[in-house]
Amino acid sequence: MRKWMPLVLAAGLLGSAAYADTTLRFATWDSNESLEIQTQIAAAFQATHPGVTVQVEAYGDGYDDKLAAGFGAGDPPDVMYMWNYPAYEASLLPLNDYLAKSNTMDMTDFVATTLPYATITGADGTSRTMGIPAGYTTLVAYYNKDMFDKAGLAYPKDGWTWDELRADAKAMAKPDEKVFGFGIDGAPDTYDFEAYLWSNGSSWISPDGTTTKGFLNAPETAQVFQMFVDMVKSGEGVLFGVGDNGSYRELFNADKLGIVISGTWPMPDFEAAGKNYGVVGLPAFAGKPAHSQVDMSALSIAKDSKNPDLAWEFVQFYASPEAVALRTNDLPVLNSVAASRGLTTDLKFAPFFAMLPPAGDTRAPAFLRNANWSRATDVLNEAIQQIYIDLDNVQATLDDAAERADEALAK
Amino acid sequence: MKSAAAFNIKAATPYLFVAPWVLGFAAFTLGPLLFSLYISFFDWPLIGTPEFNGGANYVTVLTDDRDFLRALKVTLKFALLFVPSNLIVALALAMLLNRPIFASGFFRAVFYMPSIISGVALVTIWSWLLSHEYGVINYVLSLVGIDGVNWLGSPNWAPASIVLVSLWSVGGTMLIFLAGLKSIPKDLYEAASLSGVRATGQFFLITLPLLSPVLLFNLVTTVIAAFQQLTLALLLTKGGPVKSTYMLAMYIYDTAFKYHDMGYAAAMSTLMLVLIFVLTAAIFKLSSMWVFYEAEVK
Repeated sequence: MRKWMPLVLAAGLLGSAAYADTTLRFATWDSNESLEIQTQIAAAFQATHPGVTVQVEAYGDGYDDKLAAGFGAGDPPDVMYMWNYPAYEASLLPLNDYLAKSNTMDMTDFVATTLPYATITGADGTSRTMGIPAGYTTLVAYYNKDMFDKAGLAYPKDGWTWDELRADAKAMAKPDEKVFGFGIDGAPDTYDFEAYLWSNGSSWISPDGTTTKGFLNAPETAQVFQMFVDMVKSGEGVLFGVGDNGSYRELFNADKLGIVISGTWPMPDFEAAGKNYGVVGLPAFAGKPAHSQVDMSALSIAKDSKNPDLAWEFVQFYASPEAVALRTNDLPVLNSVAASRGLTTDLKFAPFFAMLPPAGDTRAPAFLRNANWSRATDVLNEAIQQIYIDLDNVQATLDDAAERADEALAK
Repeated sequence: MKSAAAFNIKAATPYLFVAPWVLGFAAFTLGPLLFSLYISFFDWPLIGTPEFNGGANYVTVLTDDRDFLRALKVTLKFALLFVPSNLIVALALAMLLNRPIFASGFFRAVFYMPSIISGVALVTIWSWLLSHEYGVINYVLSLVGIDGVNWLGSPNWAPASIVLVSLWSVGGTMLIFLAGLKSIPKDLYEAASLSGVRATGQFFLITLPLLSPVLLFNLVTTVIAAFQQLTLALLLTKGGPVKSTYMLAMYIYDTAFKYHDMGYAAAMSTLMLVLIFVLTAAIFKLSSMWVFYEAEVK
């Protein structure tokens, strides 16, 4: 082995010489602890690529605005977090060729249901991989075990229903003391909210992406909103994210909130607060299976990158078991890492995996069905605010929203 | 030869002094302004190839855009509240500070200080003060038996709340009023007092007429500020609830950076510029009816 060392070293030097004094720009929407993880991954990459500096650009809030401005000015980062492939497709590098040549990427190890989210199928039927999954989460229900115990309730089990959730919430709620059974996001991300619609057999937009009429204002959609409105009125639930009720986490940590639905995001907070909590899959509407969204970050490469090969090396590194293991702020995109960390059998993590869409599921989030979806989102956000202010007129508000959302899509 | 060079440098000196400002203006204001006018005649996506479309953007904005009309209405409503309240409060404060009181210099600094606080810090403080259940304002109101309102959470109150917060930064306008007040000769008031004219009379007969050129200046700048309002609405209410504070500047911003439609956003900006220009011209035109310049004889 020893006599090979100089050769190996020389090869290493040759390899790195190609990138001497190169800066690779990497844009992320992460902040705080999650951003810390990105910096660690970047540092690990630099350690194996002498001469390369990875410049981690944390755009934080307003990520899309800043990214769009970067593209518009012809000065995008080389590698970036991406979710909205239809809107940015023209500026991104399709990764099919790189993937075909790669001898380190094992696409079969990726959580299969994450891949379609970063794939665009053209009119001619060809599919282009626009991003490599970096991390993801599904939606689950967190429940406050102390509050369940106090109310003498049995803990929820996977496969539970909204009726059961409401009964539990009712038993725990004491609106006069500002104690609530269920937290309802008053300004939800419409992307996440669609999980409830899917679970009740509807969606925001038609499968062909042409109209929201008959979907956004379908009776099944109205039922979902009406249920939340009823819960607010009865005091079973509380709206958070609007007005004074900024964060559900504080309520949950103070034992003033029994159940809340979210991704992996609040878990570090609950852990740090030493909460006695449990995790369970999403509740189902009677007789229908519950469905979750997949909230995924993926890495894409700018078409205008001056160092596409180096960018690809970074993306490959990011998707390596070594880097994926560093990424503890959400769920690992590699099955092997999830297994080695014991997450699939962990009581708090298993429900996330159980909520992954079944194989062959053809549901797709609205933004993948229409490139103009962000305009419709604004109409939708306004309608949701209206519904939660009025606590009434659900169907009429949705009918009007569908009308205007279709107008927005046509712009 | 020597003297010619010396002459040139001398002649160039003033231009060199103004050069940084002129260059900055050309590069960061005039240049972008002209470029914005240029791209307003294109279908100019942030990503992809721009295509010339004549005046199509303008036609759509003016004939077929409900959102534009709505944002314009919100902006006009805001301006109607914002302009008078800012001018009245600024003038009232300036008059208070113009009195020969103890530590007047200290109070001047204190009232001006909020104007140099960054918008973000201001918004953070005010969102606490205006909180529906836990806010100081509603608490104080409850002490005198008034049920507080949902300042930021109700579409009826949110626009007024933004105006209320904007009053916090009235210092600049106040300072200009104060300078104007200082330049009014004291003997006019003395003469009026001797003739038995009361304080209200003095205000309407001396202060207001002599302050009218300053008032005109402040009116114009405040109107322009009202139409360009973005920070407070963006940070305090995000244009909500139910778009009750969604102003023109926010719609332009969203169109450019959220919907990636630069050409259309540029067309709206140009129309906003024209609107502000027309309003300003109208104010100047009408000013001859109420603005009094000392040099002028009527």
